[in-house]
Amino acid sequence: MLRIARLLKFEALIIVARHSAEQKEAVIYLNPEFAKRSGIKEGDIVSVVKGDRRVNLKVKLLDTAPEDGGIIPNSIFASYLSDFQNFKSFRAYIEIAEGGESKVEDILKIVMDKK
Amino acid sequence: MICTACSCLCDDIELEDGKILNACERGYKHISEYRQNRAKNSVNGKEVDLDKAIEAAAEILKSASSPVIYGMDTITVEAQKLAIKIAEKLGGYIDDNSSFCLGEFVEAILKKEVPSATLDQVRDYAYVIIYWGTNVYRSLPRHMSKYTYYPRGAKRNRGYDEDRFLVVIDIRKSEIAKLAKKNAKFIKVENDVELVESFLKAVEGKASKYDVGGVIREMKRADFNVVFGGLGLKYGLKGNYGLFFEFIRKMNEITPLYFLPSGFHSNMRGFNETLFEIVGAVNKFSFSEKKSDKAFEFSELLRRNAIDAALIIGTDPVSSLPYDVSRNLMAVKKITIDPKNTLTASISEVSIRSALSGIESGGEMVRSDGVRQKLRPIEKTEYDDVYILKKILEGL
Amino acid sequence: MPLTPMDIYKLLPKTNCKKCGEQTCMSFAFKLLNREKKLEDCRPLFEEKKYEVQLKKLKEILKPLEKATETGLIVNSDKCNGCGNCIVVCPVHVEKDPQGAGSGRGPTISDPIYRIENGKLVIKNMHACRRYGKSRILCVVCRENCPTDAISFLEG
Ligand code: SF4
Ligand code: SF4
Ligand code: SF4
Ligand code: SF4
Repeated sequence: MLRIARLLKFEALIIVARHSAEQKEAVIYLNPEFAKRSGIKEGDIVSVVKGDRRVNLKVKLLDTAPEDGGIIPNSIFASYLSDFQNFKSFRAYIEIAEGGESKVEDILKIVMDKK
Repeated sequence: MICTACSCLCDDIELEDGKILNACERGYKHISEYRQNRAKNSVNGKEVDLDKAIEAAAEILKSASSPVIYGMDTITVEAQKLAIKIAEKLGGYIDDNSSFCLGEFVEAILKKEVPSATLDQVRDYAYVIIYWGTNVYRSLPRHMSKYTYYPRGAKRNRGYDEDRFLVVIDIRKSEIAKLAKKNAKFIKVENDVELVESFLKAVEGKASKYDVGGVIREMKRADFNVVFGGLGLKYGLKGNYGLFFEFIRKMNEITPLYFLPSGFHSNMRGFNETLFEIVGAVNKFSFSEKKSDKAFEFSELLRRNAIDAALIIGTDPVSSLPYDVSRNLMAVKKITIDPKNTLTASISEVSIRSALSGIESGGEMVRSDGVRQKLRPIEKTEYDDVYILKKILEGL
Repeated sequence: MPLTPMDIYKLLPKTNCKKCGEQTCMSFAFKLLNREKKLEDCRPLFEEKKYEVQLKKLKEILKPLEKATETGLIVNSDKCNGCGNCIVVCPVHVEKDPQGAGSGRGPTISDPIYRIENGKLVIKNMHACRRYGKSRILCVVCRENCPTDAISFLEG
């Protein structure tokens, strides 16, 4: 079955916050209602896109996530998407991803390449 | 022992039959995994012995024309003092996480611009407890059970549902917002500045966007109320700190309202206090210009490419700083002193492995409320931050 | 959803034959839930073939009972982060350990109901819980103050 979500981008509010698993896991905690509306399921890999930056994160559902988006735990993934002006919360687009989750090393490489 | 995984610095952690008792999950991981992912002593990616790494670090710092010392929020006060000495000797910059965390809040408290209190006083006396822009269930897990809402205190011994009034302010229904049930209020905030204005209006008896009259009435019933401000509040205020402090002061004309920061790092308050004692500023200080300024924030220095070497102690800017800042780290020579092999350590020119404060090394740390705690380590390593920083200082 | 006596009753033979020692099937359902009776005590269920399907269903819905303690309490460790709210609010702790658990510290008595071990809530002494035994009351204070619903009870 073709999933409609593949064709769509959803604008979302992203909050960066401390969570128990904030080390190296590429995860986003989505509000269950938001996920349902967007046709995203627990375990899906989504791309979170902001400008020309993109990270692929595994979806977990969490009822304390903001109603119109999700929480990314403090990590290099959250930091890579954020800018200094708004690094506690920002708006970004979410879409079903093509590949697997981003790896810490991938992001680190991008950071290192931009001299 | 004392847990050093967050700024609560819980002092009741016990080891029994190979189990860690009383520490929350965050603390348990911190303590039980202390041997994992340890940093190596290395220079340009090659493993060396400690002396060689220290020597290389001193060389980089000596030849730098504009060095910065950064981090220091998870090391002891003793080590912080040495780091400040190094910055002074180099005539360099010094800054910690608090410049983008809660530095402004701590500064206002240290300068006595707003009244503050200790967590023990909060436990014993507080009636209205406001959490503003901070979800302590995740960041400071035992905050509510050990110090604020739940414990019985000297003057508050009838339990949370009778003797406390909980207010949670957040942009989402967080875990602690769920706990705001009876005798409590959850305020879902879209605009923190407007909420402060609503409070100010309500003090004058006027209604406005947010309905906070009830909260003010509750505060008036008690002789001790408290606001905990977190990062959500700081960024929500968009620089309008003055307005917020004005609200605290206005409230105090009617009823006592104390303000406390709820920052995460175990000894961030310690760094703020230590630097404040020495130079009169809590962070972002330049020893060559002898003043503190926004331009001397670590992230600002990086953005302007104003530094050529960074001594990074006990923090991981590659993970924690936004991309538009962290990418500029590549142009800087980096020395990392850390117990763990952080991402920053892994890409630093010099990496030095230190001991974990509180587990392998003792000293003093300052809790988020300013109370000093003597660490009670379970092991003793000679090569801790104090040893390393002393050697670097000697080598300059 | 917590299991109710009604859920159990619906699947019993509903004949009030008293073979289990109870006056009615309903009262048997109550005792079953409180672990004062065992399913095997209702002999007709096992002896008569027509109850086969009901028996299977009963066994299924009663499965969580095996995991639960005598008071019907279940702790889901995956959801617990060791915040200690439940330990500090427990009225039994407040009474027996006012300076320790009641004041926010780790328990200082030798037989607390709960303790945090390795970052998770563990049950040490269920017998002290108000839900235990004959004169029990349906206390839910610990569950009410767990923000992640890591604590649940079989009944209400
Ligand atoms: S609340 Fe903080 S200091 Fe206390 S045990 Fe948990 S992590 Fe450690
Ligand atoms: S033995 Fe079974 S059928 Fe008979 S009364 Fe008891 S529960 Fe009902
Ligand atoms: S049910 Fe009541 S008495 Fe039993 S452990 Fe929970 S709070 Fe304590
Ligand atoms: S069960 Fe809930 S309230 Fe108790 S320690 Fe775990 S998370 Fe906290």
